[in-house]
Amino acid sequence: MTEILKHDQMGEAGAPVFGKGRRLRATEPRYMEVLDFLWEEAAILDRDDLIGWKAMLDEAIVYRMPVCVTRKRHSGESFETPTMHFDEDYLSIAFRIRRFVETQAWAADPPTRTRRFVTGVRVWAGETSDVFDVTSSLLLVRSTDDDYRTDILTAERFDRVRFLPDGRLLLRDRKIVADQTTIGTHNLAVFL
Amino acid sequence: MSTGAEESGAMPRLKDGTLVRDLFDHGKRQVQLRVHHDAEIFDLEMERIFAKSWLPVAHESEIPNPGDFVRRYMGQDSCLVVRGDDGGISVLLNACSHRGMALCREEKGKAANFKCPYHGWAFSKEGRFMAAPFEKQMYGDQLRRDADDLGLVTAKTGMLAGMVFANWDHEAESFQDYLGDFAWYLQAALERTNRGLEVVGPPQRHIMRANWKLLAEQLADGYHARALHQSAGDMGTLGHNPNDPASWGLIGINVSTPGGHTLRCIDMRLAYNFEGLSAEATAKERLTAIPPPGANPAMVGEFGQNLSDDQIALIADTPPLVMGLFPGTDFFTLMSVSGSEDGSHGPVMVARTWIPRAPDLFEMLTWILVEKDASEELREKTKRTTVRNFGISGYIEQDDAEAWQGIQKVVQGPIGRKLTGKYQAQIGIVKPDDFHGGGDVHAGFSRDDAQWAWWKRYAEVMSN
Repeated sequence: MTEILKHDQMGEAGAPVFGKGRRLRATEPRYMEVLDFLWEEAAILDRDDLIGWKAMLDEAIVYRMPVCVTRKRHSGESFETPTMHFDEDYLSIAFRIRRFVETQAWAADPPTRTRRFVTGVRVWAGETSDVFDVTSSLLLVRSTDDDYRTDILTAERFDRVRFLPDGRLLLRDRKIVADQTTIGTHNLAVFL
Repeated sequence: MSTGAEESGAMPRLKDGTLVRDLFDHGKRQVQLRVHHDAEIFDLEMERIFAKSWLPVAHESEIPNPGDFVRRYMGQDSCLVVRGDDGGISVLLNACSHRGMALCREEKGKAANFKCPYHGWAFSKEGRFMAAPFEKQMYGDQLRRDADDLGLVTAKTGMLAGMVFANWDHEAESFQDYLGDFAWYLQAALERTNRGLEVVGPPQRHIMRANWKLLAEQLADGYHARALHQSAGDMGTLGHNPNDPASWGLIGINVSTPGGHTLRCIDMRLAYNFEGLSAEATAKERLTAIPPPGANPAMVGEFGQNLSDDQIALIADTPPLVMGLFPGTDFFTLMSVSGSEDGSHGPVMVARTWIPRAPDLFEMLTWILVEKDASEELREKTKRTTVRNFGISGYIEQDDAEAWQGIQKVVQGPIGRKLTGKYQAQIGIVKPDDFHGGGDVHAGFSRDDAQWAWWKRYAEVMSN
C-alpha cells in the first residue's frame, strides 16, 4: 500500500510542508482577506451557486478528503489513510458541477440545503509570497427534502490559498479531514 | 430466542399472525415491502442470515504483518480480523469472554495480544485465553483448567481475491461450496494475475437511511440505469444512444444461483467497437488491445497462467460487471468510465458490503481494489476514477442513494408498506452455446430473473 499521508503533507508528492511559515495574527490585513474569502466561499456554497464557487478555484487545485480510522493515542499512526472520499482536480470538480447544474442529477435535485460555519481560522505564510496555508474548522449542517432530521458533518480543512496580482484570492488546494470515520450522511453530493 | 417472529420448530410467524413465507408471492413474483420496515423481520434476519452467512470483513493487504488487525462488523457483531504469527488470518468476536466488554477500541492497529480494558484478561492473536491479572489470588487454578473454553468466539474464514470472508456458523457450508458456480466467474474477473489485487487502504464507510436489502437486491437490476442514472446519459458517460438498450449496458448475460448470488455480464462486443481489430482477433488479442478493468496490457500475458481459455473468453467478450454474493457482498469492475471534464476514461474496481444497523439504517463499506503489479499511473487512475464514480461521493452512486432512501420513506407508512416489489419480467434460462459459465444463465435484455433469484434465496432462508 502507498505511504500514509501525514497531517502536515498535502497536494502532490514532494509539495512543501504545510503550515510551517510565519503565522499571521488575526489583526493583519492579509489574515482578514483570507477570512473574508472563506466566509464568501461558504455563503456561495450555501446558496448552491456552484458556478460561482468554481470561479474561486485555482485550475491547479488538488481537492481531497481522506478516509480516517480511529487510532490509539500512542499508536504513532496517522488518523488519515490512503483511501479517499474525494480525490479531485479542477476538471473532475467541473464535471460534478455540470452534472448538478445541467443534468437530471437526483442526488441534487431538489437541491440539498446546507449551512456552513467556518471558525478557528489560522493562517501561515506559504511557500511563496502570494500563497498562504490556512486551517479552519467546518461545521456543515445538511437538510434534504422535508426531513426534520439534519446531517451534521464536522471537519478540519487544510487549505492553500493564492493571491492573484489583482488582489483576488483562489483556493489552490484543500484537504478535508472529517471527524467521523463513518460519515453520517447518505452521500457526498455536497462540497466541504 | 428474543425475537417474537421465531417459534421453535415451527415456521416463523410475525406478531400479526402472518407467516413469513407469505410475504412472498412466487407465482406473481412479488414481495411485500414491509420486509424493509418491520423490526421483527430485522431481528430474524440478524439470527438467520447475518449470524450464519459468509460476509466480507477485510482485504488481506490491509493487515500484511503478524499482529496487524482491523476491527469490522459482521451484521451487528463487532469482530477483529487479525494476522497471526504464522501468516494465517483469524476473525474473532470483539468481546471479552469474561464480562463481554469490547476488547479493542481502535479500528486498526498492531497488537502482540488483546487485553481487555475492563479487568485485563488477555487473549492471543488467534483468540486463545492467555492470562488474567491476579489470576491465582482471584481464581486459584480454575482459569487454567477452563482455559480452552475461555477463548474468544471465532468465525471460520475463506478468501477470494485476497478478500477475507468470515462466517460465525462453524456448521455452515464451506466457502468453496458457498461460492459454488460463481467461483469460476469471480476468479476470471478478480484472480487473473500472478500477484493479484490489493486495496488502496481501509474502506470508505458511510450511512444510508434505508433497509440493507434495498442495496442487496439492486445488484442485478440493470433496468434502473435508464431513469435513475439519466444524468450519466446527460453527461455522455452512459446511454450514448438513449433509446438503445445496449448503450445503457442493458444487453448482456445475467447469471443467478439458487444460493442467491447474482451477476451481470455486459456484452463488450456490443458496447465497444473493436476498431482496428479484425473480427477474427483472439480473446487475448482483444484483451491486449482493451485490457480489462485495472490491468495493464502487459499483464494480459499472465492471464493464461491463472485462467482457463473459457474464462479468458468470458472477460474478453462478456465481462462480469456487478458480482453479488448473497447476502451482502459485491464486486464491481467497470471498464471505462469518466468523471472528469478532460473526457479521459478509467476503470472502477470496488468491493462493497453493507452492515445492517436498524430496519431503516445501514452502513456501507467500499474498498478500492488495484492490481499489485499495475503501473503507478494505472493505479492512480483506478483510484481516482473509482472515487469519482462510486462510493460516498461517486456521482453514479449518489443517485442510487436517492432510490434506496426514497423507498424507505414510503414503507414508513402503513399503506405504503402494503405495496409489493414486482419482479415479473422474465427471460427464463437462456444460455448461448458459446457461453461456458455455470449457474442459471439469462442472456438477452437484462430482466428481473437474477433479482428474483436473490429474493427466492432470501425467502427460503427466512421462511423455513
